[in-house]
Amino acid sequence: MINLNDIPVIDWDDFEKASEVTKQVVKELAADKATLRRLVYDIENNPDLLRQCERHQLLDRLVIYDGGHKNFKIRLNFTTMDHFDRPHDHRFSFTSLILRGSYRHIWYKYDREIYDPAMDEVAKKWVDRYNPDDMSSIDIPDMEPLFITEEKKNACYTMHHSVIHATITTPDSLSLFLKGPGEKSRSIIADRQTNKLWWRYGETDESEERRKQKLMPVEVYRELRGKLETWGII
Amino acid sequence: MAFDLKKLPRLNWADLDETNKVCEGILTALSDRAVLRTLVERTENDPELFGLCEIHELDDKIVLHNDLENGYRIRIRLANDKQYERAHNHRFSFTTRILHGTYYQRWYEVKGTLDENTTLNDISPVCIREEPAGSVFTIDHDTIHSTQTSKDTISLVICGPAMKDKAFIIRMDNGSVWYKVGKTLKRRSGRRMC
Repeated sequence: MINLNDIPVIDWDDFEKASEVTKQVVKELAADKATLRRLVYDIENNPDLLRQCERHQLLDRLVIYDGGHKNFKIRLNFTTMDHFDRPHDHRFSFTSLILRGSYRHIWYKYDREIYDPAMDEVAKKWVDRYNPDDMSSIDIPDMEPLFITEEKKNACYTMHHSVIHATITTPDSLSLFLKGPGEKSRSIIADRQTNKLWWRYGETDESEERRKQKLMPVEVYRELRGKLETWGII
Repeated sequence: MAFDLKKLPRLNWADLDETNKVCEGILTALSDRAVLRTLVERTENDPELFGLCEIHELDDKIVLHNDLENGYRIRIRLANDKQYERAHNHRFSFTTRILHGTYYQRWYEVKGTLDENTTLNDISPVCIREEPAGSVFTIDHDTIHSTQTSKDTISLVICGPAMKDKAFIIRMDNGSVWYKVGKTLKRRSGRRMC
């Protein structure tokens, strides 16, 4: 039985070592149904975890463990019925293990600078598909695929926060996702169909309105918990 | 089971997305044991195909089909047991299906371009992943990656036509850099040190 409190502090600057440790953690946790079940059930009575659970257009997210100063949090990411080719990076590096379903995974190349620190504050206005950044000079069609694969159940990888990738998902797919701390103030997300882009910020930089927009109602949490049971994950 | 390689659709390697979808279907069909057996045995008696087969320090290659005009050089890659981490790009884009074993793959970012001036300070891994048997991936010729394999790993590969003269390799344990060229530019086998 895995004890997440025993995991040492993860140094994400040593990418190779962080990958080795975090891959082992997600694989052991995925195999430990009892612990996974306890963590998922504990969310309902833990306001701090419950308020971090979020709903998005392409995925619903349960936060099942917060490692605090040890530099990691663990989530369960559920795909929704919407699936788009949206190249994006992350504010943090992470390890992902697919528990169910599959997705098309594309690594994109973009040779020009994406982040202008002078725009960090201004870009807080453009944080969803209804409020895209129309001032950006980033050329989305210029993002070219470097690598394409289909990630299936048991696929496991560690990815640096600088990588731009897209995951074109299938319904009712599920990943166990271990993330590091934020290493930049915002991340990009671009839609290749609409040619729009917007930005994602960490919790401390988000407006109250944005937080409310994403917050997962407890009824939805219970519904997702039910799916995990139906699928035999917990 | 028969498989007619003459009826393969023309590939557009400039559209990696579409090529990935087409090649995935072809490689799945070619992975049939009886089909593969027929093709491997055919190579022995085909001087053109046999002449394209190669042996290297890290892997051996048996060519099953050669029609680069339509975007295909299909070959089986048999990894040898000697392994070390070497980040590299390719002269051509390609699609691979792992038939047996596992690839331990890394993607890299490099400052500038991977060339004879690249040092270990210029290159770093940005994704660490595994490709088990049954995986299929398509990779652009400019992508910098490394693949180490488990014992007896075998893959089936569709290579596109060459897009550049030189592909560079950097050994990640000691920083030595060299390049590979195609047969038309090769003056001697193996590698040249920069």
